[in-house]
Amino acid sequence: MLNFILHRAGQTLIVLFGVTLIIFFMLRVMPGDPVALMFAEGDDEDIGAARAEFERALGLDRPLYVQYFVFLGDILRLNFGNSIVRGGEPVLDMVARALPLTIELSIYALLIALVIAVPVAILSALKQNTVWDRGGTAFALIGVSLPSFWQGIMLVMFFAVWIPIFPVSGVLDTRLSITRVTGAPFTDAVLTGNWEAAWSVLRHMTLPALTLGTGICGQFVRVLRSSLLEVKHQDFIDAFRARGLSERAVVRHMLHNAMPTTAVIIGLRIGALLSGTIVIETVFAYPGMGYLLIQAINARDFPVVQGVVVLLTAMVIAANLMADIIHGMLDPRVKLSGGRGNK
Amino acid sequence: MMHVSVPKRRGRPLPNIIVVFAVTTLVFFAILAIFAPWIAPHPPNAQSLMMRLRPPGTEGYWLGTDQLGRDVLSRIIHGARISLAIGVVVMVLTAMLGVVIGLISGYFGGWVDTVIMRIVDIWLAFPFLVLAIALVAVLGQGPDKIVIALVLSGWPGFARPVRGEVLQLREREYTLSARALGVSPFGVMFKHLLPNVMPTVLVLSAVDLGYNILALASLSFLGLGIGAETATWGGMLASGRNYVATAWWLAALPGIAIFLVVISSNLIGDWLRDRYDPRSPFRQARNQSLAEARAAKAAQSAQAPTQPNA
Amino acid sequence: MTERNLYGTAAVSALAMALVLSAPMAEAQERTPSGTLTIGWQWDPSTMDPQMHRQRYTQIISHNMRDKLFYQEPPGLTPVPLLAESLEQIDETTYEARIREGVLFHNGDELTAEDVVFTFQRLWAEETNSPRAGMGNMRNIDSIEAVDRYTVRWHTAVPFGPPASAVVGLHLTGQEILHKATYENLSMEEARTHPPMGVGPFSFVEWVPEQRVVMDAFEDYWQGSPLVERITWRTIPEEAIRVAELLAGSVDMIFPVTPDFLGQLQSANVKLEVVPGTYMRMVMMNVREGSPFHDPEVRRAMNYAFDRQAIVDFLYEGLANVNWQIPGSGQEGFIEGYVPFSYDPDKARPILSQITEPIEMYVESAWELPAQVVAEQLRGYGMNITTVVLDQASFNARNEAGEFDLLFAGGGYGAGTFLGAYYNNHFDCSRFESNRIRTGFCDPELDALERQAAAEADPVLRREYTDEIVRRLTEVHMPWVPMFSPSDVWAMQPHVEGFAGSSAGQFFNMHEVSVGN
Repeated sequence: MLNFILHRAGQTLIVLFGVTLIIFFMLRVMPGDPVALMFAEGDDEDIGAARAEFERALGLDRPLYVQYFVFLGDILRLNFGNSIVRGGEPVLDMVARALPLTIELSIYALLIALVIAVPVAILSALKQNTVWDRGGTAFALIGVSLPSFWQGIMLVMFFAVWIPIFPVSGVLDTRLSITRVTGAPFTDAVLTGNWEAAWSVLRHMTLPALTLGTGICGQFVRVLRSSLLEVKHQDFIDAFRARGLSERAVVRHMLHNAMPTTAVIIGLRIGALLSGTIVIETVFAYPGMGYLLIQAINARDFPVVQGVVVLLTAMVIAANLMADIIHGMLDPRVKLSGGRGNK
Repeated sequence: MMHVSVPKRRGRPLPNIIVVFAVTTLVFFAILAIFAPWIAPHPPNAQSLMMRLRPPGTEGYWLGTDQLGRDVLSRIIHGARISLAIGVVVMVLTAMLGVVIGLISGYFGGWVDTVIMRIVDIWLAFPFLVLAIALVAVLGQGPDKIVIALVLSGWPGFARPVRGEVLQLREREYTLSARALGVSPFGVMFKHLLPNVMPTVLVLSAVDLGYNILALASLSFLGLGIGAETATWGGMLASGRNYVATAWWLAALPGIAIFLVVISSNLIGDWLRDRYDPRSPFRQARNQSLAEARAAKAAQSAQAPTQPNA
Repeated sequence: MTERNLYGTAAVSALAMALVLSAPMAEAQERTPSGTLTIGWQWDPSTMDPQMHRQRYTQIISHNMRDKLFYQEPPGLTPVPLLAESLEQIDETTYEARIREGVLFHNGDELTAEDVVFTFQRLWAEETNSPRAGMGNMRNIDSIEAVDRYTVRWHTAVPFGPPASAVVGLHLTGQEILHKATYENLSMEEARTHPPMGVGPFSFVEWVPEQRVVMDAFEDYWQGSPLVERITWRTIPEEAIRVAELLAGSVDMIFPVTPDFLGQLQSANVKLEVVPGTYMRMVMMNVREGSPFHDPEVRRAMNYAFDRQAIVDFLYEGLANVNWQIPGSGQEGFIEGYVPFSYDPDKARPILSQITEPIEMYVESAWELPAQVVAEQLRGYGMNITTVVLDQASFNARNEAGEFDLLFAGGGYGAGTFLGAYYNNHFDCSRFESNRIRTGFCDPELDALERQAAAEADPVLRREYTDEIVRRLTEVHMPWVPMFSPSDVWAMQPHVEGFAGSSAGQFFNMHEVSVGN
């Protein structure tokens, strides 16, 4: 186990190093730069000199490799730099603001996905190869087959124009405010016992979470259904049936046995989940990590894009690692080896 | 996948009717795409400011007109062209690139494998959309650029599963004997290994087609489409979003077209998976992480013996 | 030549305005604020430090809490005294401003010349590294000093012209005055989020980045208490959602409104405030050798080629001005009644139909629609035009590098000036030194004339020189095809009263806005 973790940690460092390299030079090759964009607005008699001076103060006039090593050194000291566009706001502050929002949204979306996926998968697995099964499988595909931003826009219009029960943008009703504890609005509202705000946050998050949730629930249906099918035909289930357990109890046992694999797959989907939030947060202008990233890319806010991408990838890798370890603990048949490859 | 555990494996796990529906849909759109200039009632870019935002049913414009008075039906028909063409071309190129890299990585093993797999890790850890946005910004707009961007960001989705298969196949007897007989490494790879990984590639490809069309639409939404003059479903959808309340048909109709094509390719992918790749419920996930694949393998090997008829 | 645009008269009217503006103070005591106003708008301010950004939207938030010395009034963008009562030219390079007496900060301190001096000194300090430090012509200011409690004096390195143009050169219209006692003790990092302390009509309540800014009425505001108790600025970037929220009644006012939604809003029960815009759209042509637009006759034909009125009527529901000359209406240098071209396809076709090579026209995604109409009109002459949509940063990079044949671009003239910064940025040969190629246009002779005009003290001569520059640019050199300037549009609930939009999309009179019922 220790060997495995050390080995993976080594790999992680290599991957993160590669990510810094790619994102840094990719941004520099992309047309447009933050200072030019910033100075495109407003009138200066001598805009060339003004720009050059501002660039010099930010160190953007130094050779690229020097800038890269400065960036790398900063990252190693966990200094993610300051936003150029947002008047020098520390990138970590921006992440600390956006990340809790994205995490809450993702958890909400996961819950929605599970609420839809579990019954559908059970139905499909129990009535394998019947019309129920086929319907369930097709149903699971619908969410994956719709462009998420289109779903989002349709939901917005539906709920804004026809049935205004959910707010279509924002995080919290403007009348209310939440005392900051963790930065995650729902958690904070609950922690401070502010139930009205908690309800408001929940309602605001519903539409984006629904869009995100339907996009991933197809995966869950497939995985859970196949896990259930494998359990279904195992001896102990037959034994339960033979002992005359009620169908409910049998299903509970099946779920109990199928869940570890499903949980691991969910853990491993976190990367995809975070990717999904990029587009959805943009549609709903939900100020999480994806929204932050897109805004920063559009403004070519180098430090922000770099910091967010490095942190995001680190999180994805960490989540995958944890899922692996948990899988190993839940399922003793899986050996975690330090070796490479799939064996 | 799920049918493994059924004592007798069935050849057609999904009823034919669904597959027939999926294939028919794809063929229908393919015909639209190929014969677009002859089928479409208007040129896709012909504007008529006097005829802006006419609803479906307007005479001469069955599906209405858009914000520049262009015929929505004609644009959807022409949009099929570019959407399907890009989807298919990207699928083929991604598969080719991914398969070759996967074969090399799995066959040679050792440091070659280590290097390639680390690159794959980096690629997969990196948010796909950021990669695509950056590539499009660097390369510029245009169908060719989009294809390059999607292929460059998509190949690990093929490379890793293929490599996983090859790792197992290369220890099989026929591979070993071919090597003993002095067949060149590339001979072994393409004559002996490739045919055996084809089912996996086929399954991945079908899903990939739908995925590419969705990715294309997402890029259009983020303003990184093909170009203003080229009618694409994603582009129509993105530019129609401001009119959802006043001219629903602008966003709704191309959205339905995308949905039909993507769900068809997903259904076909599912069907192929059930036919050819019954063991792995996990490989379906594109961009699955290395760890995911490993966990899947571990789970499979652990569970395999318990399968009744394995 | 109309007298309205003369600098001299502008200065006179500015002084006259000072008297008018002090009038409301008398009745000010009667006003008590009531009700709240929620504004849904596109942006989130990037900082609470008014000296660390160059964004108009960040400034809008700031100047509702911190007044400036002057601001610019919509018709003609005339500088109007705000905290300064007047600006006087002592000699060629010395200017003196008289600060209003009895103006209070949110904490009750009185505004003095020291605060003004501190504001500018902080702005120019090297440690600040403000991107605004060189705005206007501030690089050429030697020093600033407080003469007495209410008098501030600027010394400049070069002549800045008569007071009305010096106001812009000294950038007195663009700098919110800071409270010295507060800001001199703050680090740059602290100042970024510190509650803004100023003499503006509203005082800071909270800023939740990417979500909202809340401010309350400052009842001791020197122009009288605002009429609403509280303003909430909600960040709603997607316009469809802004409109939906307005129609659902969850916001009272939205900005900006683009042509996509004009039709929908015009037929709903909302009020529209429309102000002539100060952001002109033009087709920039690459005038350098190798481009099909190198030939002036082609550029002339291009000026005849477009049905601008159709674009304005159909895409903008009439809410835009058609442009036929390089300066936009309201901008310095604009010549009333000067329409050197017309929509004349017969003049355009013979020349444009000769150009058959494929040409790409670049445009930012926000302007895709009119660009496509423009491209279609050119295709009508047999040209092979493709519109290519770029993100703002890439578009800007192409514009600066001059890597284009056609560019569907825009030029903002919120400051209202033409000579100086605006001319330098778009036409002056010196811009090549800092790699801002744009159309590639360069004419040293015209540059010399521009410098002569800018330094000219006699308003009549100055106007004469400016006219000459404008005519030569518009009719002889023709690097642009001027197209149209969309109006700035605000939409609001019927119960919002008293709002007057300012050009350049500003919110200058929020203290006069009230919400009924």
